[in-house]
Amino acid sequence: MAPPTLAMRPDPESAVAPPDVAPWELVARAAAGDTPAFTALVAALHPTVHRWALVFAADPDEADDIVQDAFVQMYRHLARYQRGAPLEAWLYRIVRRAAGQRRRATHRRRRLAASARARPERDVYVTDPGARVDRQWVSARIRAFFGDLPARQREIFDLVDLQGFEPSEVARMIGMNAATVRTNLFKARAAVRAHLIARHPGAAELTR
Amino acid sequence: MTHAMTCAECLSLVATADMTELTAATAVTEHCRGCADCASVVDEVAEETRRLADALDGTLPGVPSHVVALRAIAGAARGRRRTGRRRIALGAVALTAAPLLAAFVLRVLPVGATSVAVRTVELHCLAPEQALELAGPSLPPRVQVTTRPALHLPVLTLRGPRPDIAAAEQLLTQLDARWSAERSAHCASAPAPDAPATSAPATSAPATNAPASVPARVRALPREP
Repeated sequence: MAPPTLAMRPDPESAVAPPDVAPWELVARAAAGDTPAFTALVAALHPTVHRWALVFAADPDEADDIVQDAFVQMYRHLARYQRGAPLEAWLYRIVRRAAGQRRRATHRRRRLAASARARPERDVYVTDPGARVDRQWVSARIRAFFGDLPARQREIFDLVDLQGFEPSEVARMIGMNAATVRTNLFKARAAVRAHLIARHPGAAELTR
Repeated sequence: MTHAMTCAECLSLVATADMTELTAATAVTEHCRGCADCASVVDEVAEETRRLADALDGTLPGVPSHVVALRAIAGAARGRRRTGRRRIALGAVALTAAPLLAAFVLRVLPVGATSVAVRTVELHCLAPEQALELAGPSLPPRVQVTTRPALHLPVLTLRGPRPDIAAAEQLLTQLDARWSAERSAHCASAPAPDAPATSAPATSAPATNAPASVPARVRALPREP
């Protein structure tokens, strides 16, 4: 499992290589209107933000949309970032807000749309059929694993058990009490492991 | 001798445990050494979690980063233009509405009506009820006059717009002074007819403290036949 750091992982497909400078330095430059600095910042943060967005989304395509919205909001609010403040908590809140706004917009649009034709078309950058199949497989896995989990439990389970953040860090990132984070984490674990535990030959007796 | 863990206890721990903390020394691991069913469940839980983490970590963004960055800059500029247009529209609405609102307020509320004051007038000769009875018909209509019978003090509390309060105070003072001059034997401490009445600070007697039995407005007082 990957260590829980906001590493400046460069996007392997990106044409812009991130320079060897601290993230806050790039934020300061981008806030001053330096477009190359912002492009470098996006290249460095893109995989992390996309990874976070995957858990809020129904599929990788929706995650791409959330990422785009998050970077729009980030660019608009660059000046609000305080030097020295944890960048990951600030960025995570932006991603979370962007995901919430998109989810609400999608619900609204779904109610308004009479037919599937009325739905907006997605940008399809992944034209490789193999990659498409991979993304569909990931969507199926996310649905199968997280299925009926409430959004908050899904988010906390992902951050703690899949990404390796400490519950106290998660509490800071999502602005929640650490005890509440742990409670949600236990509920999420119990829910996602229930079907595996049910395979135990003595499971029927356990539920009595 | 230590208590051997049952399958039920093992599974209830596995249901909520952090799988990275199940080291060789834990009771769950100890139990799994002798129980193939529980060991299988523990392995599957750990394996499925790892597979999902790998799947999510291995999913790369579908849009190149430089495209995302350029779109973000364009999207933010679009948002700023939209916000700017919204502000201009709101400003125009406010500029249109402000004179209308001002005209409405000035039409409905006379000048000075919003400046409400409270003043307590001390009487030297007349009783508060007498002063009310005598001055009532002449008092400005927007002035509320209350007496404080519970305090046994010869005072009247006036409440209303400042110009009206001043007029009411002058009327009551003159009335009290005239009676003082005519009945000086009864009012030893009465001031000269032209002397102004002493007034208490505005906050000394809020009108809302008056008992319910006291008439709130002069015009509501019962008249003698």
